[in-house]
Amino acid sequence: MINSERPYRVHLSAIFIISIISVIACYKIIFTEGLILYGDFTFPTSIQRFFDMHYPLWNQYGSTNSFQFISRLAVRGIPLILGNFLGISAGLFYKLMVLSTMILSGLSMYFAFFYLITPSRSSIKKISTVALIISLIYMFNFKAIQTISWPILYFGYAIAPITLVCFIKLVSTSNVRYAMIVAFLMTLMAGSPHYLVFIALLMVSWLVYYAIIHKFKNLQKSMELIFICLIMFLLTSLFWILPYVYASICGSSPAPEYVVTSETVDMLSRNSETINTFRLTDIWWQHTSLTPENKALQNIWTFSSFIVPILGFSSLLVSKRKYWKYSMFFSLISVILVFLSTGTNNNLSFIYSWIISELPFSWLFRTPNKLTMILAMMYSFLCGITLMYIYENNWIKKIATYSILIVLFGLSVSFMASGYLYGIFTPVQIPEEYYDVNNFISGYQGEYKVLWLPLDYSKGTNWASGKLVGPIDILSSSIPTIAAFNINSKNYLNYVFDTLIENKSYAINKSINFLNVRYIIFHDDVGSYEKYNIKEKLLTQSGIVLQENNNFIYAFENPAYTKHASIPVQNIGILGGLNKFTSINNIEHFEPSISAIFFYDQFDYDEYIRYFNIVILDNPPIFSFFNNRYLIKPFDSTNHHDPKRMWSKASTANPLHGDILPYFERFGIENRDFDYGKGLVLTWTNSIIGPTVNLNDKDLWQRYDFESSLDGWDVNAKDIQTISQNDEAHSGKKSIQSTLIDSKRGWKVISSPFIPATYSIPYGWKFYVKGENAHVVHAKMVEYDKDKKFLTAKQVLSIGSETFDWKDVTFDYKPEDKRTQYIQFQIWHGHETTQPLPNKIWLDDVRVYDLTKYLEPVTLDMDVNIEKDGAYELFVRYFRNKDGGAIDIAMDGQSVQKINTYDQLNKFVWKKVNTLDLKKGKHKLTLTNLEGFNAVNIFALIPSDEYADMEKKTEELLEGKRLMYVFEGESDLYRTGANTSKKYGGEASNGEVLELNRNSTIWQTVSIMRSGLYRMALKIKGDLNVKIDDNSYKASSNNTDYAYIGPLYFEKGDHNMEITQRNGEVSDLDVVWLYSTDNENETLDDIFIVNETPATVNEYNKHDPTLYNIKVNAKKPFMLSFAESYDPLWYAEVTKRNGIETKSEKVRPVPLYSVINGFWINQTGDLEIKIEYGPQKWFYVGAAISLTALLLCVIYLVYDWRRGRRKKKETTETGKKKQ
Amino acid sequence: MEKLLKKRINKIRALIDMPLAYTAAAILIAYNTDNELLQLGTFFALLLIIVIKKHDSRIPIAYAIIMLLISAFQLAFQSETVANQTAIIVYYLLCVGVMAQFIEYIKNPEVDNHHENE
Repeated sequence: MINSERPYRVHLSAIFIISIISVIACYKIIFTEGLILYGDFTFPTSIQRFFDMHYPLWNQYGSTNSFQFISRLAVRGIPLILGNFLGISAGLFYKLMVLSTMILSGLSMYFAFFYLITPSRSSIKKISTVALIISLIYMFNFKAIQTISWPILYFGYAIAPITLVCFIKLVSTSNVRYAMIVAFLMTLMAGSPHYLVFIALLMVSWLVYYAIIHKFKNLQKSMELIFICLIMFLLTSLFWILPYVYASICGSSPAPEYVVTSETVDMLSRNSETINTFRLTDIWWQHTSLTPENKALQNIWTFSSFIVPILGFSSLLVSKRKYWKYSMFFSLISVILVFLSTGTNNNLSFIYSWIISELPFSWLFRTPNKLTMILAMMYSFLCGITLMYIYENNWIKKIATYSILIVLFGLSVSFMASGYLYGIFTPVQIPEEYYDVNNFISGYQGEYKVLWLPLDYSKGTNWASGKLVGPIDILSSSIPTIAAFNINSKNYLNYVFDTLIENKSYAINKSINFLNVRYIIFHDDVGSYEKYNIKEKLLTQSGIVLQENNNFIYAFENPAYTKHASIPVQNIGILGGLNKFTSINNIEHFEPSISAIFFYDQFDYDEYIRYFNIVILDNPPIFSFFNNRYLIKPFDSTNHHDPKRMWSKASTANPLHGDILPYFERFGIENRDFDYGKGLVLTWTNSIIGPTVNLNDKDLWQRYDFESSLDGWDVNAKDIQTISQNDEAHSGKKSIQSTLIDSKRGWKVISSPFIPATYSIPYGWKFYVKGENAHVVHAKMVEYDKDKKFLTAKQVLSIGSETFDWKDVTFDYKPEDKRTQYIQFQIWHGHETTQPLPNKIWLDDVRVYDLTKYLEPVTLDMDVNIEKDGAYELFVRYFRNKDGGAIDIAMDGQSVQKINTYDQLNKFVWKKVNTLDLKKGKHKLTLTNLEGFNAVNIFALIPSDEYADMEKKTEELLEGKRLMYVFEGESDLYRTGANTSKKYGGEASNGEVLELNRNSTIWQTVSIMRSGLYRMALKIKGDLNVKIDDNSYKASSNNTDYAYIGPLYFEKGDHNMEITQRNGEVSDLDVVWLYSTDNENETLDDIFIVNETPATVNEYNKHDPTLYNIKVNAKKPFMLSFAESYDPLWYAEVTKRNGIETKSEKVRPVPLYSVINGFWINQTGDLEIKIEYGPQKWFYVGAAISLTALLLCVIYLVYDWRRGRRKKKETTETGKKKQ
Repeated sequence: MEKLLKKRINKIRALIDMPLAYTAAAILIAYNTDNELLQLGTFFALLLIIVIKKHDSRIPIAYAIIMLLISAFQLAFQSETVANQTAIIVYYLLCVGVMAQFIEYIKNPEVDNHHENE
């Protein structure tokens, strides 16, 4: 029996019930052997690695920073240390993490409600009963179950109610104790930036609300305490705030590396209709079914899913006066949240779009349905207030009502809960082979890394079917790894992986030596990569050796790996992207690990050009010197990523939601150029249908009313599917009806006749459709060429399933293939239909409209601010390609130039657009896509006089450097009558060669940057004629080797190169190199054989993953290569020179090979160099302050508690004495 | 005659004063238009009337809860589109109800308009 006078007994009962229910809910998770493994809930197989993810600020297991995790130390630090000390397994740790957070969420809501209502002694039982019920609602609503996938967010969700109530108490009671508790809870909550911001906004809302309802009176004390609370929070959180501040000051934003666009938010809002948001079922990606399969149960489920909002909002009807302020506040926040949580899935979508595009830290609001976690809390409180009212009834009514409510709630969430807790979150056993190979690779001395392949577990593995497996291999690695976590390493490793699977190189080790990678571990357990036969491709690689094979895991050793910190002997600058790197790698004596490679067009580190001995050119390097203030970035002028409709932002670094490679693949384009880190815009459409379309008969192109015949419509699978005219018409007297009488494999199709159509003209479709027991009805548009041969098909609509009445359907379609002459509309349905037979579909009054007159051009406006009147040179960097067409560039509405973007070759090029006379002030630059697939990287608008200075500066910088030009046969040279071939596989540079016959002509214009002697090296098999300007030369080779021409004298400027076949036999051309030389017989290999070493590393000491000390003996200034993923927050500092302590400048890194850190050390002698990850020492400072603040906080709370007890004791004794 | 006219005017006035009726009218208007501005305007007008006329702010909330039940029915037996349309009207009604209650509370913090059970 619950004794109403002893709250602790009531609480103990509640704690017991909540714990028991949680254990039952997590039963399968707890009692199944293995590791929880699903999507973002992918953690290492050891607690130590899990700790390494959080601390220090550089995680060597993945080579990435830990900014995302460092603030979680407040929550996980002690449990992790304790878990490690007690020796519990990682699997058990994660299971306890889920269970304890679930219990915590229940207790948090229970105590929050209990103390919010502040019961009198007589009402303890009532309030605790209600608090217990709502704690169950809070623990098991749809949102709570979904949030389990993100443990730290789930933790924020768990402690949010108690944090809010403590804040409410802080404002109303002005007690310092609450200030301390709130600060402490906020520090814990900061592990999830989402929750920190959400709860902070909620607190501010309560403060404003409280101030309004109290007419802004008696707020001074509260405000003082809130200030103390804020200070305490800042102090206790300094351990992560200081590193963030340091990073921001250094100009590096530790925000997630994805692009937030309107389309991303649309996708994430796709299930956020108001009706789903109300019920908390606005889950954009449902991993399990929310509903039962049984139809009758489904209806009951649908009703029961409304129970929480109905119960919650009912509090506004039944709330007692004393709870009014709470019910109103929670309801006010609820209605705001319901609106915001719909994201862009409402009629006022521009509001959320504005939040995303204009507010700082808008990425926090990228997923609108995260806001419904707060809504779940509001609902729980509101439900509590309603249940308090119900409690007033007699006990039969009360118990009956409570029982019904609990059953309905249980019914609504049980399917999703069982799907998660008894389905996708059921632990799996990680195969022993993973543990074995980790033991194998860790058995050697030295500092080295491992590269795990494939780079991801896309589409799952055979040992964890039905699971979304995250990077468990990398996270659990026994030795440090480099992984595709950081944007630069992701881009580079994807390039290496593509090089491997596309057979472009037989020396893949050359691309990973400098990453300090000693082992490549390939696990052949990812189904989606089976087709690439990766194991065989690795076995054919020349530089790596298979050392260990255990079932599906293969460990290859790369003996030529470089040290963690090394000094390359020569420095090479490349303009022209990663494909140039593949070309240079194909040179036999070129060894990247002794050659620092820097890509000028990856970022704008122009000054580094002076440090490089060799410059491999593509475009004139002058463009690397354009000052940022003269650059106009189209990327910043749009918030969209939907290139089939408009100019869309993307980047060659391929961030999430802004990648460009899928579009290159779509057009069959091979390109790995960089974009100076400025992003780009792309599109392939030249028109968009305007916002005001009014379909009318004037625009009617075709109509099928089916009044007199089938009008040419037909069906497939005629043995089981019929089509006929039918009297059930939407308009007129007849429609067509298709009847399916059997359930068989294969889609059943209702097709229109071939309709003549023109590429890029938009057609508006309007028709009526009805279904009876229909199965997955959807519509496709199919395109055909002039011979009615199939070209392409695309799903355009999802119509529905089961029985539905006439639907009025409209959509637009623009043929996407240039060869299209006919289009056909098809309705697909009934593949292995599960609906009762027959399945019937009616179709009526199909109209096709020509929407040409509604077309508007696809433009992008960019604001330009001109600082002074004068002449300006306008340049553009755009993508020339085989599917290009034309773009128009206009200034202030006047076309400046139309640019033809079609080219046989696919590459980004700079072009001078025009010289413009511009007045000081604001101008508008407009980019219009006229035709074809186009991408524009940047514009540069430079005062004419400064441009001349830049040209001069570039010439000076190139003095004394070796200039090299490389032309891959298949990708850098124009051709007629020649074909590409992959017959040499990875032996050929870039994996392909050009086959020349007697009709072939190859040509290119070479822009020589500096007059002088140059030698030409052609990797060929056969006999070729090479004509340069008016002079002809012969080149021959019998075994795909280099043939040399020259040295030849070239004047600065453009020269024409033409290559033809000489003796009538088929010849192969792989690559052409042109390089400046002073030595008559210097070969390509000679260039890369360097005997002189500028410096040597004598000693290397690793203190921890963020601090290294290196002793170097340097004869010349040198580039220090440091094999961790490039991060601008690393720095190198010379601490001693020739044994004397010195104070030198901190050297920030440049990205070497586009992926790791390179420090240019401009000193000589015996040097001691410190390499440090900058934010780490700020962590130490912050952590010391945070711990001190936390200690003070605890001391105060203990003091306050003891004082309270003493006072209570004194009061009791006084009372007794009085008696 | 004058009396009859007055009686009729009073009847019309009473009808206008009936919050149940004009809340229902607002719902009907919202149901029969796709124009968001008209919908917003209608519910804003409803809010103004409730506040100015000091009507019981629980009426739109009661309607909202009934409509929420209707949308559950529509979701189960009709289509999600129709149910969502109803849910949007529920949303407007809740906004009106909560705002009206908030304003009522600010204007009369000490007066209790609700039925206390204790």
